[in-house]
Parts: sequence; C-alpha cells; structure tokens
Amino acid sequence: MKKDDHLVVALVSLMLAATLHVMPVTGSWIVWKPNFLLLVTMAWIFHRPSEFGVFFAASVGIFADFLMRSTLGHHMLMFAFCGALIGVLSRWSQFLSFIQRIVLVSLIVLLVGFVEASIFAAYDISAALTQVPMVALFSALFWPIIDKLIARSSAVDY
Amino acid sequence: MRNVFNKASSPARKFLIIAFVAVLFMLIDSFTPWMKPIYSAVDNFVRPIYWLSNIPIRLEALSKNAVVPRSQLESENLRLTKESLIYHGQLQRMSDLAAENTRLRRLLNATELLVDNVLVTEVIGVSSNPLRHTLTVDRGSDDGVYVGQPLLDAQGLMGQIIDVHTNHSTALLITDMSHALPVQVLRNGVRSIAQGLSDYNLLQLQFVSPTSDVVVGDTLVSSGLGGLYPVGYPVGTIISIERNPGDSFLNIQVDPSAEIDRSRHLLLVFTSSGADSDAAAP
Repeated sequence: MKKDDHLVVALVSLMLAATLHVMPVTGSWIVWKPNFLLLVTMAWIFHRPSEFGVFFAASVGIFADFLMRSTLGHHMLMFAFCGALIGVLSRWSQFLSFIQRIVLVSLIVLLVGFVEASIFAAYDISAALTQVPMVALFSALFWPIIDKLIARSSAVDY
Repeated sequence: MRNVFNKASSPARKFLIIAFVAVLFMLIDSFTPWMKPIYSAVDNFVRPIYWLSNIPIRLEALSKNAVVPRSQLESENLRLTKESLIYHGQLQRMSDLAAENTRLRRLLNATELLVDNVLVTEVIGVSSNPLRHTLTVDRGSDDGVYVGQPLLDAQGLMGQIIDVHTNHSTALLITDMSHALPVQVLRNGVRSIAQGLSDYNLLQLQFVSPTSDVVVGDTLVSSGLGGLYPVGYPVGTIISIERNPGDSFLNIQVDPSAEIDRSRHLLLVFTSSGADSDAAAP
C-alpha cells in the first residue's frame, strides 16, 4: 500500500515535470532548458532506490519518447543509463552531502548530454554539443528544488 | 562481499537488457512504419500535458488583454487604422499588379496563380528534442488541416504539417535537419534547395555552383517546385557565402525569414493542390 502511494506521487510529479519540460519557451532557453523528467526520475531513484530503479527509469524514458515524439528507444536508453548509474551509486549516494549530490547530478547530466550530443554529431548537428554545459548548469540550479520536493514527498508516511 | 557484488551488478545487468530492447525499438522505429499507430494512439493521452503547459502563456495573454488603459487602446486603435489605410493602399496596387500578371500569364499561356486561403492557428507545444524541430498547433482534421499543408508566420515560411489529429496537428519546421525546401533567389530566380541544420537561426543552400549569381543579402522565396509549398513566400536571406577549395558547390548560409522559435500565431495555407490531393487520398 505504501509502495503504491509512492508510485502515485511519483506519477503526479512526473506529470508536472513533463508539463514543465514541454512548456514553450523562446530563444536560447529552449536548448538550455534542463530535462525536468530526467531530474525528477533521478530524484526518485536517489530517494527510493528499493522501489524505483532501472526499469522505472526506462519506463519514464519511453513516456518521454512518446511525449517528445523522438525515436522510440532514444530516451529509454538515456534514462535507463542514468537509472543504472544511480542504482550502482545508490549505496554511496546516501552518504553524499547536498553539494556533492548536486555535483554528481550535474556530472551525470553532462555525461548523458555529451553521449547524446555525440549521437547528434553523427547527424552533423554540432550546435548540440555547445549547449551541454549550460544544460548541466541549469540542471544543477534546478536540482536542489526538485531534490527537496521529492525528498519531502518520498518521506511522507502514507 | 558476494552480496555487495551482486547488488551492484544488478542495475548494470538490467541496463544491458534495456539497452538491447531500446536499440531494437530504435531500429524498428527508424526503418519500419509499425510504430506510427502506437504514436497516434498515445498522442491523444499526452495531449493534455501540452494543453497544461500552455496555461501560463494563456494566462499571461489574458491578463495583458484584461487590464488595458483607455489611452493605450485609443492609440492602438489609431495606429491600426493608419496601418489599415496603408495596407489597403498597397493592396490596391498589388491587385493592379496581380491583374496585370494574370493578363501576362494568359498571354504566355501559363497557369494562373491562385490566391491561397489561410487559417489562423496557435502554437500549443514545441519539441524540446534538438534532433527534431517540430511544433504542435491547435488545429486538426476538424478544421480541414491535411498532411503536407504549409505553415507560415507573419515573416515567412515556417514548415509543413506532418501529423494530423482531430483537434491538433504536428508541423515539421524548415530548420529541421530532415527538411529541404525548393527556393529561388528573388532577384534573379536562381534555384536551389534550402536544407535545415537543426539550428533555429540557420539554413543551408544546397547545390549552388560557384558560378551562380548569388550575393550576401539576397532574399530567397519558395519556388513552388515539388508542388508542396506555394510560390513566392519568403524563406530567408543569404548571410554568408563561402567557397572551399575542392568543393563543387558553394557553402551558403541563410537566415530564415520566419521567427521560427518565437512566433506563436501562425497561418495554415490551403493550397488548391494540397486540398485536392488530400481529398483524393483514400
């Protein structure tokens, strides 16, 4: 019952993240905007590694593929990679300080961004690579808010 | 020790399984049309998210319109009246030119240019995937929108409709890397193809030989070749021309006329050929 309630809260938070993610913005913001879905997914795996893992991340990735109309499997792979990374690091991540966790999330976003940009580079999209550090920076700025909100939601005893 | 190793390796093992499935999905989606019905079915479920994401912008527009000082309305009314007069004057001159053009075309036994009908639409969602420049508009098959329909903003061509649903449609922008558009230089009619580069502010002209008469500042308009886009809509302005030794063609970069990443209110153009082909389609 407790697990189901967490799942419901997770789904609501993911819907909010999806809404933020597709919100129309103008100018450079569109490429600097952090991937809110990824951040919220990572936050849930950080706080509830026993309930949310790689398959959860992959499921959110499929949802992101449908939402953004990207090639099916693209976000699935990306999200699952992040989920696996956090899953591997989950035993140590609980000992990390707040700042260290921000740095870790930024590094994951940076790594995923560079891997993704390398794929884009194969399609001759050089612009995507230059945006990755800004996306990581904005993700780091938004992470404390998302982390606090998810920590509070995941700690509630239903 | 064994326990720690098992737990740590588990996510990696799961990831390998998912990676295999994901690559399989990517191959199926890239090389077969099998996923299209699934996308169409799921699209109706994700649409409310796009509607929700648009609420702040709607509220902003509503608040802007709800409280406006009388003086501002009066000055705006005056400005619009003046603009209307100017445009009416220009329109009269254009009507004269259009009539003359039609007469000349008849003399040449050429086809008559048709006046396009348009439908105003609003952007309700944009793709945040840099690989795919698409946006969602709030008109669908109920409004007569069809696949391949051109989309404009106040400045120029934006793209074409690629997916139609009941109340909304998805448009592929001219800046998408998979999009190419036949264009001609307004000054002298030199033809080329404007290819998207997945950069909202840049297009590239393809297959322009070094001997072609193109200069920086030339305006490009749609040539109408291919039958998809109507003739004469602004596409962009040439901002740089480079000739790399060894290359057979010039490297020409174009600044799109349309405000691709800014425009919110757009026009769907009903071309006679598009409407006919759509009607003829089963």
